[in-house]
Amino acid sequence: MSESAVRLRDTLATAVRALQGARHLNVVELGAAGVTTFDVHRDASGTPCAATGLILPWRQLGTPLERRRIAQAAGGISDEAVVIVCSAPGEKLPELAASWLAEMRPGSVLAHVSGQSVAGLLREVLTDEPLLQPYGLLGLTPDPLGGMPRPAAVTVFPAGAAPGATAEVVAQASGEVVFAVLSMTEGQPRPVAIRVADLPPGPQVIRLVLGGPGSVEFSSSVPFVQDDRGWAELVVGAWPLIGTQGGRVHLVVGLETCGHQDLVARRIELVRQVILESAGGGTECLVSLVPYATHSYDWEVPERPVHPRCWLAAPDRALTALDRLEAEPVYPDGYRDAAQVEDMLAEVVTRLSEGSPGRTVLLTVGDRPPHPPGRHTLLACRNRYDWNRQVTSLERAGVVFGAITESDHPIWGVLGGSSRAHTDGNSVTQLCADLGLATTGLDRIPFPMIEVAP
Amino acid sequence: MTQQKISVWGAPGSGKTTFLAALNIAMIRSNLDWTVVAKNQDSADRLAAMTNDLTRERFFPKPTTDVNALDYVLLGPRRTRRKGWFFRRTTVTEQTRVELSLVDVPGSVFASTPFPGATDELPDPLDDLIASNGVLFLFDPIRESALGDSFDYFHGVLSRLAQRSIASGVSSAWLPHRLAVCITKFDDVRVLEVAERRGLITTDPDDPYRMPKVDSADAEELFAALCETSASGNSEMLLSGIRRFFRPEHVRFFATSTIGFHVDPVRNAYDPDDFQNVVPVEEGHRIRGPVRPINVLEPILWLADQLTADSPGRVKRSATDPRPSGGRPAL
Ligand SMILES: Nc1nc2c(ncn2[C@@H]2O[C@H](COP(=O)(O)OP(=O)(O)OP(=O)(O)O)[C@@H](O)[C@H]2O)c(=O)[nH]1
Ligand SMILES: [Mg+2]
Repeated sequence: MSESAVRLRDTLATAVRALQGARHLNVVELGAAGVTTFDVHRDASGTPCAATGLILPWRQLGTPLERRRIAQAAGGISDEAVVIVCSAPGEKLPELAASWLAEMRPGSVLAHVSGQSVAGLLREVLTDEPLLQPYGLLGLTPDPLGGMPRPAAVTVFPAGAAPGATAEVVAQASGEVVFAVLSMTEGQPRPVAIRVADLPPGPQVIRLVLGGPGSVEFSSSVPFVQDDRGWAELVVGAWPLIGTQGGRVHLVVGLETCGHQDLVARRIELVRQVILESAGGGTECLVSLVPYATHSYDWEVPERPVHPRCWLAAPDRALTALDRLEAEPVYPDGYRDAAQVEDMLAEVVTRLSEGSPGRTVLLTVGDRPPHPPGRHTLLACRNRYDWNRQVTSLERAGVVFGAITESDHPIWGVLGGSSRAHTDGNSVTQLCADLGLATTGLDRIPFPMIEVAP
Repeated sequence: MTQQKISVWGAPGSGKTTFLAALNIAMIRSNLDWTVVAKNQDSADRLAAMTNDLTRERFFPKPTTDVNALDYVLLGPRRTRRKGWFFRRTTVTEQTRVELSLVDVPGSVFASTPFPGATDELPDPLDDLIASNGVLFLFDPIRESALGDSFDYFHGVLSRLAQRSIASGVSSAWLPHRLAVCITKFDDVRVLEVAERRGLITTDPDDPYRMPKVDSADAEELFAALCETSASGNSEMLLSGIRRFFRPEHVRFFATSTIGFHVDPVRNAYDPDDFQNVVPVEEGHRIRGPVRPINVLEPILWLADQLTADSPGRVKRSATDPRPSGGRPAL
């Protein structure tokens, strides 16, 4: 490869690596035949891909119209990155157009190369790119504490892995199972490769080879069949459960216990349903129950500070705490227009700061808005807590917000940020799936038991 | 001693009954030398019950459904006066007495178009207003900003009042009444904030809590400002109605709260972030803590003072004003 080709390769590799999010890179080749453009961007899994755009013969260059078309091909006046490549050095029109374009886009990179296909170089760069996000293989992993195996993503290729990298896992299953490699993009993982194999009994060593971003090959003593579409959606749907921390989820329930007795009973019933669904969802679930009611602005009624009934408890213990709560008389309904939501949030913030294993979901079940921290038509919180601040600190801690409410108050848009259900209960199953507490699809995916090969 | 009859006028829910209920508390709490004494058993019972509701039960009165005449005597400070001629001239000490007949009716009777049937059995409020020399008009800015109907409860009655006065031979363009206009619910954050934005708030250096208040001289401006926030835009006509029918010196504005501001019981201090004395509860509104009426006694004393000054043979000096007559009473 010529020196100029190596230089161009490096230039393109740097530009591709710098490509982030939804941004595009325009590579404009000014060759002997005309102008060719390549549009490079990353797909949802972070894999870079290129599309050939415009091919424009030289015939009409020089007329204002064609100048504009070339300019547009190079990204117009947008601020997307541009690499201008003159692949016919010494020739009048390509040189002219190259310098003209470079002048028009001061931030662009101008390169010269001869006797080398730009498309070929670009393809090489894209397949040789090291991984930006780690790739994980989904499967059931044994519980170190000897419990039920849990679905988890085992990292097979870490970020930075280069093409040709290999990984070995030991898989066990009987019959047809699904091997799914996901790019562990933050938030939403994307399937990279999904294969189905019919495994014989006993441990099987599976070898995975990274072909480049977006490409993984499987090999073993049994054949692997490509099956991207059949399982992709179910696998992605199962993801929220799988989380990054061993599939453990901490369900914190903020429960409003004031208002009409029937309504409180209904809320308790819904919380019971959510706990049961979460416990049976295939994930280890720990539950904290934080009931709250109204502040007392009446000197004859003592203030009841918010106090959790259970914290990080196993689901059955949480259900017992819920039963006990239900048996208690309803707290006298003090303030009608707000409740101690802000005190509940403050308590949760404090408790979580002491540590919370796994993903934390805060499910708030209530209707009344919080008390404001200061002067407002609603009376101020007796402890002057600022719910807005508590929410921000929970958001920073990565807490997922869900709510069951009948209220349209804007606070419920925040507390129900990831999912919101009504007290009619119809949408509780959906709520659990949205919050990654349980999923209906997971138990239908036949994952193998996997362990990283020693 | 002449009897002064004061009628209370205002839309439903404007706070008429609460105002009368708080009068006794205001007297007890004030450092002015006044007491209210009921003239008959019925008024005494009602006064006691109303005071009890506000202070012990901490509930507001129920909406009024019939006419309640409350006959009180206001007993003021003792004053000395010379009596007799020359050698028989002596000094006597007597107590200032103002007889008050307060009439509380359901606000609906003032409606310009009463609901058919709703007020059939109730007397025409005009009879009471005509027979009164003083009128306490309660303007509820909260209701006004939500419903904007204060004017509806005002103009109809006012024009009929003017008609009747003319018919009965009063030749002046003015109505003969003294009018105390009370902006009620001053303790509500929405009302207080309007006053703050207009820079109308002062504090009394003698008030240990330094609670906000609006001087009577500035209360008219507050009234005008609150009218601007009215839901209907009609309330600006309230002010022009008042100016048209009452002599300017016969009208005075007050920023009133019957329940006053909340005081933090632990720190025993007024908290500008937390001063509302009303708690919404399932059954309506509850009073949060001790009742500290603001500008409840003052309009009554101002009216009483104006009316005693009018009546022949009475002490001309202001009953409440420590300064020489002619000056503005310190309220
Ligand atoms: N914030 C505040 N609210 C008050 C005050 N006074 C009365 N209210 C509220 O206004 C409501 C109505 O007061 P009432 O005294 O019954 O009014 P009214 O003018 O007698 O009403 P009707 O008898 O129906 O004509 C009360 O129930 C309270 O909620 C006050 O000083 N401050
Ligand atoms: Mg009343």
